[in-house]
Amino acid sequence: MWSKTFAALFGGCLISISLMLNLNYLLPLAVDTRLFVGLLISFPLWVGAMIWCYASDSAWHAWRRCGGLLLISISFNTLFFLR
Amino acid sequence: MNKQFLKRITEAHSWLGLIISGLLFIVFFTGSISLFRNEIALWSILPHHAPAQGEPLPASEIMQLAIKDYPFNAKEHLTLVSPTLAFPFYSAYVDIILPEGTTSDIDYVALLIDPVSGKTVAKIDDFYLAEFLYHLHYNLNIPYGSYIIGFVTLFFCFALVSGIFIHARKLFRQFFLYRTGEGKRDQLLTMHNLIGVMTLPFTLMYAITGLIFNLVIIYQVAFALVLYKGDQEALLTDAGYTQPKPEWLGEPLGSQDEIDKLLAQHVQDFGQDAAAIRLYNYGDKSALIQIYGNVSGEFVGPVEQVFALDNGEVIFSKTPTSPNMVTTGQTVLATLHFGDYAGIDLKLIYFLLGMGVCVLIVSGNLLWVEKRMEQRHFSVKQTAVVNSITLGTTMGVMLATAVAFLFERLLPIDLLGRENVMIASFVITLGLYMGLAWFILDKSRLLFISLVSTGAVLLLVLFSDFVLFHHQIVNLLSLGIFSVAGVQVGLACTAILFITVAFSLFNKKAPPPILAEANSEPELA
Repeated sequence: MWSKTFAALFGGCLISISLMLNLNYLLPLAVDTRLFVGLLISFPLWVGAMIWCYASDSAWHAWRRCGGLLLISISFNTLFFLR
Repeated sequence: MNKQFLKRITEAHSWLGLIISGLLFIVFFTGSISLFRNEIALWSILPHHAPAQGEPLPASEIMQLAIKDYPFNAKEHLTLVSPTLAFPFYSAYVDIILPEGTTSDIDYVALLIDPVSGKTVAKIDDFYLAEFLYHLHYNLNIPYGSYIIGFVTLFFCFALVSGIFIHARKLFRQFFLYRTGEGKRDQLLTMHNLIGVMTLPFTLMYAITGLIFNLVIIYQVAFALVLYKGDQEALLTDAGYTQPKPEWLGEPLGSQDEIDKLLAQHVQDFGQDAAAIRLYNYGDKSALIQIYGNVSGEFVGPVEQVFALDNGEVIFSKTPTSPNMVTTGQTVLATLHFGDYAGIDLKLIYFLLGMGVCVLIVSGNLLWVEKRMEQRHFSVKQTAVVNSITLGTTMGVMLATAVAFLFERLLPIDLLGRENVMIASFVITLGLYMGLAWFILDKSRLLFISLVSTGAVLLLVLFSDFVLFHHQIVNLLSLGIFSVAGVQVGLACTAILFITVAFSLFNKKAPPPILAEANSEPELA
């Protein structure tokens, strides 16, 4: 439980930040609207990632799930950042 | 839904719910009470200082009166929160020059000023009960407490969403089902589910808004670092936050007329008085005035304007015609969170829903104990610890709050550090009660005594009100000010409820669920 919690907290937080940054690049909205949408969606994303982690077979499985998604999302972050 | 998924989610739901239950109870209990923090503050203040009747003084004069007895630091700010129907005094925050050698880092004084007489009624912290309970709600009155509460809220949000998954299949089928004739565990489960489903829109709103208020810093830092390359100022500007930084010129400026003119213009433009005013470099030629308000009759219509006092030039203006989504959105969230978009009836609904969540928390803990006790080899110590903590953090907080009310009423107003004595009364009562809950084995008797004691303390508060201030309270009623009497009615209802619940539980043959005798030997099959 504790190790899954660790993955849920840190992995979930990183996933939500990374996905939000991508959304911020992709959404065709005014900057203040994008920031507010980010604020509203980020926490539900974090909680969604937590559910995903706790539903995993083990902490290692939870980290693998988070890591896989993070890898893809961070690749897009890098792409947008360097663009 | 996958059985394994549900099993794991249920396990996380019950364990995490149990771990956060104590703090979450404090959040919801004090938060529900804090819906009436204006009324509680007035209950504290008004018997000592009834508001003067007549025409209010101009805001510019109130500013002069606020700073006259203090070493005002004009290069910083002077902030004035306007009186409202709910709270009839100005709250003035005067930044001061700290004397040399002082060890305190509090560089402002906070005053309550009567808008009619202009007299300083008291320092805001002299009547601290309402603020204390409100601070407990969002930061526990401890350093970094807002982050602790933020993470508790995160787990609460997880518990809500996982609860939806767990209960999804029965959400509609058993929506109106209340199993009273079943065993204790089924009754508890029904109570837990029913309250959970009924309060779901409200609890989801509270969880999300609470998270945004307390943990937004995480995303703020990430966005500033990545999107704004470390430029936090640029992020705040995009998010609509402004803090003027005028350069001090050293040339005196009399700005009273300009202030009153701008405030009158605000009323003309937006239909109601400014909610708050902040002055920068007050008294200098570079002085600016920042006016916050709301468009009259709008659910949310935030107004923020900055003017130069020298010539009335508009430095910054944010109105519903030129809104910023972040600040407007946050105002919407705050309005929903605090339930201040309607009258006292809406606050009562919010209060009942908040108390419903308190019952949800307690029933969740009791379910955890019941489930453990049904297992073949349950740990007696573990269930005893959970029972003690549940009783300590729920009943203890309620008793400590009642004691804090009593101290707020009985402490002399000229007592130095009055607010600290009131806080100490809360902390000591809670600490002692947690100790009692830990050591006393007969939890049933302890619960009964606690409920009756809390009711008795509240009745003592009412008795003190009557003995010490009955003339003042009658006078306030004759002036049409009902806050004090309203709080008294609330306290009386709570006292009656506590005593009734105590006797109804005590009269039952079977002990109430919280008292499950975890200390007795388990019956092993």
